This record gives sequence, structure tokens and C-alpha cells, in this order.
Amino acid sequence: MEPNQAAQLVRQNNNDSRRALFEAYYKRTFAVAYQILRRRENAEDITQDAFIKAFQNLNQLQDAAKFGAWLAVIASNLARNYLKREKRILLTDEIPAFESAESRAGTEESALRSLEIERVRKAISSLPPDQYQVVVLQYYHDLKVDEIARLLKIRSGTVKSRLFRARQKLAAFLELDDGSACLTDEGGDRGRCQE
Amino acid sequence: MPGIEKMKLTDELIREALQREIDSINIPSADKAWIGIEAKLADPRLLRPVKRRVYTWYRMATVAAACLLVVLGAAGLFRATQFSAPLADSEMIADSEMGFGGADDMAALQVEDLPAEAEAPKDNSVRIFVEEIPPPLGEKDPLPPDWPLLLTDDYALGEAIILFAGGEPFYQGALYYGADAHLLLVKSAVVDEELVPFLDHLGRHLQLDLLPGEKKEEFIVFTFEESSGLARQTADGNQALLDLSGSISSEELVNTALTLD
Repeated sequence: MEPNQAAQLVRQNNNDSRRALFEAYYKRTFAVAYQILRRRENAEDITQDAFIKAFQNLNQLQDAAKFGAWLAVIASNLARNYLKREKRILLTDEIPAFESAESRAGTEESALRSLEIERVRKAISSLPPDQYQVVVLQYYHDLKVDEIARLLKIRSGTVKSRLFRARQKLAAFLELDDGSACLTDEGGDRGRCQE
Repeated sequence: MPGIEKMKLTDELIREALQREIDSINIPSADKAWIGIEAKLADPRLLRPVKRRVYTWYRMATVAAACLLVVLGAAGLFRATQFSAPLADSEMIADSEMGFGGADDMAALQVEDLPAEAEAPKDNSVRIFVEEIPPPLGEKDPLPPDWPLLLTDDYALGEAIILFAGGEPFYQGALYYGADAHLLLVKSAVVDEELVPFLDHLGRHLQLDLLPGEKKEEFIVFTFEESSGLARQTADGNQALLDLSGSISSEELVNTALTLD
């Protein structure tokens, strides 16, 4: 869904518009909750709670176009709070293997690319919730560092620090060079890896 | 594996990996989820936020003291009615009035038989030995301001309350619940008020002694019971952030308060 579309639906705030927002963002919101909790039934509950909380507090959303990212923050915070309350790591569902169209097509290059993506996917699933949250917001929701900071109500420096640690962790998991964990530039540009 | 050691952790790779992650997850039925959401949004009873039970010491003390008050009050009233009438031979009290034994028992009862501490109090007053009952923090605010939904990523808005003074609403507050701590954020609409009188006034509302201490950043740190809080002046009136659970350091509280900007 385009941000403008989402903004319009947020402003309407009636049953039909809420249904449309739900249809557009349900999958990714569930995915965020599931990635942290790793249990379907808990993720379902958290996803429902996140939507309810979002719909009840739509007037608090300052930038209606950022509804998706805001919802992801609510869902990930609810999931993290749930984990803290339960005081246990839910080590459950296996990460399902993904067989992409490229790998099925059989070209070596595409198969290699698919393998790389799969490795990174597994690495991302090993990130702690606070780092996963900022990675999703930057790379999936395309937010800049200061936008993430505003949404999470933390300092930009904290966001940068979490992104850096996330990249370090990914690089370590993937057994890459130290230079692969590069800082983002001011303002949230992706930056160049210093290699 | 050939080529893997040359992999660069690029933004594009991370983005694709995240997309694949989301695509790979087996999503449960959206219709079922929507039915649940729609039902909760439509039914006001189901809209009540899930309140995490906060068993703070003063709530437990309130319940215990209330029970003690009822028991002691009943016992004291009973004793007061026993000793209000003089024990004279000429006055025989009917069974129904006494509620026990009756006239025969009264006749048998001699003052010198009673232990000293059982004597009626001279002024017939009922003495209740109970700890001071702290009042509840406030009542539900019917028109809350736009409190932040989240206070950092550790505290979620629980309820909006209003603190009363002399029957008139004075301070608006918001309770935030975290996994290990609970915070109270208070706003005052009075502008240009010095912080020390503000804390004194707020403390009387909360029935807490808020003791001002050192300055940190733009805040004054204050202590109460075995906990701490922060206060500052803003253009819109004073603010205070109290750690109700006593489990956060003042540094962490400052970091949390700074996110309010």
C-alpha cells in the first residue's frame, strides 16, 4: 500500500478504512511479532492487540503515512514486553527453508544469490529484539535514522548504535570481515561499507 | 562454498532477506483475526485496556488496612455499646439490647473481675489502631491529553488519571507499565511555577513526601519512600516523572524523561 493511501485511510478512521489497513498490514505485522516470539499463537494474539491499540490511538499518530512502521513498532514492543514478562526465550518453530524461483530455475548465479539471501535471513532471525526492530524499520519500512528515533522515542545515537551492533552481529554470524559492519551516515543514508 | 567468502553484507541483501523472511512465514487466517479485532473495537467492555495487576505495597496496605478498619471498627462499636450504660443494680438491661447473655450475665459481671485493660475508655471513643491508609493515586481521566503511547520502548501507556485537590481536578497523570517498573508522568497546567512548591503541592496530592535533591540536566531529582523521580519546568507547565516501583536508577529515569521531548 502506498503511504498516501495509508494516510488517507488513517484519516478516515471508519470500519471500512480500518479493514483496508488491516488487510494491507496484517501479514507484515504478524511477521514482526512472529520473528520475535517464534510462536504462532502468541504472535496471533500480539498482532491482534497491536491492531486494536493502533486503531484506538490513531489520533496519536503524527505522520499518517507512517502507519505501517508505527504499527510495526507497537507490535514489536508488545512482543518484547511479552517476552520480558514471560522471562523466557521462546525457542520454538524452525525457520522454514525458502526455495526461491531463482534457485529453482537452476542458474548458478541465481542459486548463489539465493543462498546468500538465505544465510542473511537466518542471521537476521538471530538478532535480539531491539536490534531486529531497528533493522526492520530501516530496511523494510525504509525509515531514516531520525524517523526511527522519533517513532521509538529514543535518541538518534541509540538507533545508530543498535544498527551498528546489528550489522556487527550479522557479519559475525556470516563470518564476514570486520569492515562489513559499517555505520550508517547521518540522516539515515545507508552508507558505504568501509572495506 | 565458492563465492560465499566474498559476500558483502549490503543493504540490498538485508532488504531481500527481510522480504523473504516475511514471505516465508505461514500467515494465519486474516479473516479470523479481523473478526476478533472488530468485535473488540465494537464492544466497549472489551475495549478496556488489559490492566496488569500492580501489586504495589500501598495497594496491598490499602486492602489490608480497610479490612482491619472494618474488623476493629465493628469490635470498637460493639465495646462502646457495652460500656456506654453504667453497671448499676437498678438498671437491668434486656437481652435484646445487650445481644448476649442478658441480665443474669450482667449481674454476675463485677468491675473488679475485669482485667484493667478491659475498662471502658473514659470518653467512650472508639480507638482504631491502623496504619495511615494511603489514598488511591487518582481517578480515571475522562478527557486525557495526548499522552505518548509508549515511553521509550520499555513502557506502555496503561491508564490516564486525574489527581484531585479539594474535590477539584488539578493534575493530569499517566501511568506507564513496563516489565519491571511502573512510572507515573504528571503534568501541571500552571506555568512559571517554581519546582519546589510544585513538588510540595504534588506530594500532598499523592500523600507522599517528595524531597528535592540534586539537579541533573534540566531536571531536579527528588526522592520519596525508597524511590525517585524527576521534575522540570516546561513552557506548558511543570512535569514530573515518578518511579513508582523503586527499581530504576535516576540516570535511567533521566534517559527516559529525555525521550519526552
